[in-house]
Amino acid sequence: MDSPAGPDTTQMTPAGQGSPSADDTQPMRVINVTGKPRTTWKWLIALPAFVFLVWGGAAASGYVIGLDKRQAKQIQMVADASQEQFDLGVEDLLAGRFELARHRFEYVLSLAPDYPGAVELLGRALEALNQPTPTASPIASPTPTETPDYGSFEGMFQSAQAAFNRGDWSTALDILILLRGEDPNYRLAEVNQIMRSGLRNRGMDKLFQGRLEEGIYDLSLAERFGALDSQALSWRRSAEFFIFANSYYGLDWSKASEYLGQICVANIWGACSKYARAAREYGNELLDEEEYCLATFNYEQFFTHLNDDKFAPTATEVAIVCMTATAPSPTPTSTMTPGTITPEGTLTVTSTSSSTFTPSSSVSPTSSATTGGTPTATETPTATSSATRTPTATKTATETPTSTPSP
Amino acid sequence: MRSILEKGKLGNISCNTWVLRALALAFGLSTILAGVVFFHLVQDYTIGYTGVGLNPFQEVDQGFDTTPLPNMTPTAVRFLQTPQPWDGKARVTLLVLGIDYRDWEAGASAPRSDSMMLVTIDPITMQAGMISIPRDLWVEIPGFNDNRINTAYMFGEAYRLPGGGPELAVKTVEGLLGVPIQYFAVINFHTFERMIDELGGVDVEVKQRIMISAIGGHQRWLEPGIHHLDGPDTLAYARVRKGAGDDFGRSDRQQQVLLAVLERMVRLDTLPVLISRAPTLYQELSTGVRTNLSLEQMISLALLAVKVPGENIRRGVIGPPNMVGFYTRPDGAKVLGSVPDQIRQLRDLIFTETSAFGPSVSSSPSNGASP
Repeated sequence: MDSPAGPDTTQMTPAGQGSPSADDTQPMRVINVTGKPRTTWKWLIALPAFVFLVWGGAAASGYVIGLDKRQAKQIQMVADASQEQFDLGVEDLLAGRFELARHRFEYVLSLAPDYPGAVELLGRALEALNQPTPTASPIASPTPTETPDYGSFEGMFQSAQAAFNRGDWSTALDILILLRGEDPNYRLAEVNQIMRSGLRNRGMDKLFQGRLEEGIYDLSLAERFGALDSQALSWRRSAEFFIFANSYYGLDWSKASEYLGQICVANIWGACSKYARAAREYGNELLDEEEYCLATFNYEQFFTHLNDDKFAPTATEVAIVCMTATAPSPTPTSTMTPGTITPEGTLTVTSTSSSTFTPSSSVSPTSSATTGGTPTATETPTATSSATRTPTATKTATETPTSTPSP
Repeated sequence: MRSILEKGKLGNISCNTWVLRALALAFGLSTILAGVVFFHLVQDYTIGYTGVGLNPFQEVDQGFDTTPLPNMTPTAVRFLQTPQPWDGKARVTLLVLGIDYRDWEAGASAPRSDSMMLVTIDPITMQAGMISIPRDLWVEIPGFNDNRINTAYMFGEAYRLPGGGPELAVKTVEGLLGVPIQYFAVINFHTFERMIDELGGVDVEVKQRIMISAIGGHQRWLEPGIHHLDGPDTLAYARVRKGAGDDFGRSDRQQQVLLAVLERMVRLDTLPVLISRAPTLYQELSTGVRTNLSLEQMISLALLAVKVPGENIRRGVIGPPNMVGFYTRPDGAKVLGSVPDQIRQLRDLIFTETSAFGPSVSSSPSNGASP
């Protein structure tokens, strides 16, 4: 049953509308011009839809599968890195490189806290280093704190203040920088105050940890807000002097031993062991120049702070030569005994000679330094290259540094 | 007759239909084939893009022996911290290391870094800076006593420390300058050449007559003036040492090349093109670049860098006459000793004075001092 509105393609042409002839009363088959575009329209929809479906499906499945593979790859990479560092840590432990072993195990545990055996071996490394052994979870887990509110400026400010109050300087500073990036003038005076104190305190913390240049940098940033307090200034000067002295280490043993000797009186940042090594090297240089007594003096400084069984015979020999050179008829029976260093740094060379080598002067500076908490240090370095120094570091809680060595 | 005609018509219709069907089939197949290719591309990019940089754990296969060096016992080393995601506001500092191709090619030992440059941008003050560090600078390498600064990378690789050579180099530079360094990028020479070529070369102003020698290629003189250099020539220009200010002139040229790269990006609107091609480039360059920067971070930094006005970029080279002294060690090795307070002044000029840590933030152009 045909209908004019039906989908068929035959239609009666309406009378008088474009018929070829008015007498022609036969129904006429005409091509429906709307039929072809309808088919094209379908194709125009179907083809892009097909392309979209195929490509979209390919992209989506590629992404999902790739994501899975990436995660698997990352897990594998972490596992490989952990395994490698664990194996190397075992090697280091067996070879007696405890410090390196310790760091490798710590690294492994930072990647995989439950890595089998890592805690135990870290414990052995720490035991060998005479440090407290770790508990089941050696990596310090962060103290739960309130979630920072970054939704508003005030929330950010309060979060920074809270971080500052609990001594988390870095977090406080990070939040304040974020805040400053959003609104440079928001509570400007208070933000500046927290920034200044945070930088100052973080800088001091770094100095106590031995990260000298990093601490100096933080203090320099803090100084942009205003003058530093005398304690911070004093520690910064000391740190700068240490770095200055250390810059000669390995390059100019004479200057290195001279300057490190001055900072050694405060017995901070391992200055004394560096001084000792520098003194020995300088002594070796003097020995090459046949300055036996000066060499002996420097060797004495070395043994004041460090022991070296292998080096002791050489030092003793040089001391004997020195005594021989300075005494008319020496009958030396001297021995240089490592490991028996007296607090005064006395040269343990004995001789029956009437003329014994003694340092030309003796300086007994009083120094003290803390290694954490409230920084305190007093130093009175008046050392000269021919002085015996007696560093006697003590920890005090309330002292304020009053002077720093200067070259 | 009629039937024949109808048959012919039918034959024609059938033929057209078959052609159409064949075309449709070909279209469908090609669409599916393209889908398969697309699938693999997306999958590979997704796998390759880790989001935490290129090969953060694995070492690039450099073909060298990683046997620890004799007579060397590293002591305390502070190992890497995974970089925090960049919040877009904090200062970003990147250590760029170029690898010594002679070590690389010899394959006998872990390579030393050939060049070292610290690049920094402060997004709040919109100030940037760069400091070149001479490779012979005598410094304390954490865990390895004192040595030339270019050996830090080698030690880290040779001892397979966590984070490897880049991390130890970063720690060494942090100890020298005191500034926190979040990111590193180790680039080998060939990759550098490729990067310059991708930009279509760079324009550099040659200040004095200089002979450049491309790796494995030609030698030629560059006369004073502006030259457009391709990748190999740019590398040669940045590396040449003889008769052009030695190591320090070389450092200056390296900074000049970096600025030329930035200029190129800005002037020719190269950045959008590069960004559109970034995933591909990231993949291609991944064999020659080792970094803890993710692709997003690279793009963000590049976009930030091109916004920094030229007059807000401070640069300096740690070099004579004030910042280093010349020393000869007992073994005859010539090294550079640092002068800490002078180096500190340069550090303060580039980092401290331009920091957002200050009583007020000003992004006004600096004096552009270039000590």
